[in-house]
Amino acid sequence: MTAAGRLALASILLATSAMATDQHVIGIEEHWVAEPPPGVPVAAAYGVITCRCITSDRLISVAAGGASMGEFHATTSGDGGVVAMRRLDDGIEIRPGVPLVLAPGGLHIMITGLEERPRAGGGIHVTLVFERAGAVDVVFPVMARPAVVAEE
Amino acid sequence: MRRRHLVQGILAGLLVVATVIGVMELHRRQTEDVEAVIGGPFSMLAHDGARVTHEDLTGRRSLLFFGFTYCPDICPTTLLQVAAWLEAMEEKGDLIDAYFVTVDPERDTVERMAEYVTYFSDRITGLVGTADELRQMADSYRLYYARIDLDDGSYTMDHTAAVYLMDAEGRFFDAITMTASFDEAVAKLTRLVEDG
Repeated sequence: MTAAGRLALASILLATSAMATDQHVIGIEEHWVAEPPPGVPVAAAYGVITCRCITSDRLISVAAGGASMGEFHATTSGDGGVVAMRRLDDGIEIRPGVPLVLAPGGLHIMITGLEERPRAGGGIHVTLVFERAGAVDVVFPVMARPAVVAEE
Repeated sequence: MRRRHLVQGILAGLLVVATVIGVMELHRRQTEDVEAVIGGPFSMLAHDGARVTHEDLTGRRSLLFFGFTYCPDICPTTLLQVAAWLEAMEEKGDLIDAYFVTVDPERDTVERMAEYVTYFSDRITGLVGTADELRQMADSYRLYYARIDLDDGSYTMDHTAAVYLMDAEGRFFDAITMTASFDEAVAKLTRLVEDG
């Protein structure tokens, strides 16, 4: 390939990736952290993550202010009511247009090693890192877990 | 030649069918056996310091479930569900003793358990045992629990998360799994009060 050819190809690739970035928007909604009970330095974060994108993205790591670490977990149920919390080491895939729902009893972000107990009404700074979109900073409001009510 | 292949094919097919039936039968028997033997001796401290044993289940209807205070998701969810079910049953709910048993006696002291359980509900009694007492209860209740180490040096626990219902004789009556709806759970608990 000639120098001019390489340059042309490089500029095409650049243009393509810039376009991909423009069309690759991560949305985080209905996000909250459940206020942990007294004496428990562990909290769960929930929310709905969407990717307005053409190619899938992947939530690969999470860091929370005032905590030693964050991990992704899935509460999974197997035969005979055995329920396990499985760490998702490869992160969580987010497909274009398919909302990723983190909710009690299912997928959640586990924040461990909290130095101070988050209280309802406050907020926790959380950095979510995506494979393609990069780091996204969000403040998760802290809320008391809602009381369970009968279904309509 | 072709006929021999046909015969071999039929035999292989029969073998597969027989194996599947055998496995299904084995699974059915195992399931029945497990249900028949859930329950039995245990002795632990309640979060108010009183000792609770299997003898305390006799003459009362009981509900037991397992977890730990550092559990971020499923345990708080289940505690609030159990409290809501009992609330919805009004005075019938008062006939059921609800116990939350820790699978993490290393971190869960009686004091921590008291703070934890009362944060969610005044209808649930937390139970704390020594490692040996937990082992005994796990044997009685066919309970699975395992420590999972985390990268920051702390750990979490995997565990059985079904809610066990025990009748007035202290025998297994039914179980409520995570996937049960609110109404299904309340219906099972009502049946426990009426028939258990």
